Amino acid sequence: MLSTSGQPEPATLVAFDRAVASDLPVAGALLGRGAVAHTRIRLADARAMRPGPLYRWDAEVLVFTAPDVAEYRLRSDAIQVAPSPGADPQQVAALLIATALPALVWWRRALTLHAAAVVLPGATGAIAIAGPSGIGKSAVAAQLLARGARLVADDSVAIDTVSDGFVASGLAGGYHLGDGERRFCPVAPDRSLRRAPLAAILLLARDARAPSLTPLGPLAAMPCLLAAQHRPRVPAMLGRRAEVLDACARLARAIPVFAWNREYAVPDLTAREWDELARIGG
Amino acid sequence: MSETVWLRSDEWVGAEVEDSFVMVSIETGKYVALNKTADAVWRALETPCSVSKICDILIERFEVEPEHCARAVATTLETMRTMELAKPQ
Repeated sequence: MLSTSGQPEPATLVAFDRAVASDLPVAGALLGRGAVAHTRIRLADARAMRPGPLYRWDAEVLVFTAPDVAEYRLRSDAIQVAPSPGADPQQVAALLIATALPALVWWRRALTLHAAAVVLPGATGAIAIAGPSGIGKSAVAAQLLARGARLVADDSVAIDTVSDGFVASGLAGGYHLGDGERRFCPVAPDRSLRRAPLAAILLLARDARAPSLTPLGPLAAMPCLLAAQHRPRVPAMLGRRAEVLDACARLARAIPVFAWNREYAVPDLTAREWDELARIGG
Repeated sequence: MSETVWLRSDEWVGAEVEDSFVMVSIETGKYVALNKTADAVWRALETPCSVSKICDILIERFEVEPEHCARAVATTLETMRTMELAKPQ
């Protein structure tokens, strides 16, 4: 559809529980039919980038520069994307969802964890599965989805504080699998949730220790939650470290947190893991 | 006892979690959880405070022997200096 100016109208999508009007594809965003967009993503003309730090301030604009890919200029309600000449559009779009959108989540004062999130069958609350890149968050989420779970987020989870707890949201329309070339796996609309109350956080690890799912007290959970922040440089640039500490402390006190160690050699969830997850997330 | 006055760094923020006080460096993001002694010393440093005054506060709070307290405070302050949590004036 064209606007009155003759330019294509941006698609209205839902990402991290916010309506977004975007010139670029946002893999995993839900359709935002009838939604009024409060966030605008614009595609600017390609331009050469000057060398500099990954993140910097330009007056009141936070600038994230990915060399040879794009420059992402962020305000609280907008992202302007200027690709580098010859940049792969898929890489430009990938960093939009991997870095620029999570940065906007930080800006609205939500905690942002490097995590997937799902709601198990029969449950109403989401379990967030946090951990570093490549640990298997999306692979676990995919297995849970195959058994009837609904997707809330794939790589980045926004955790907003509400009057009676915490709400999780993300890009619920699909997940990415694969180590080198990641492929996007869309999820049917009835298997996606725009948002869900947060029920538990699982901190995923894979090492030589025996597989286990161990509850952590609030004090033990604190450093793990801080380490699970997605793009922690952003809240630092926004001057939000104190707020992040406070948010993690409130989360640690209110939400069950577990250390989940899985065996590298066992990619599929075991029967015992299924039972434990059902107990935690049910 | 020494009259060296110590003061907190402005670069750390803290929060209560269970019975502990946890802190993050605004500058580096470094995280620390204070043990009971460190927590008490940190609270005593709400305003710049001499070592002897810190010891008086801890002796009253924990009912410890003065010599033991002085050693514990000295060790704690040195650790805080290393971690840039506090410094002598």
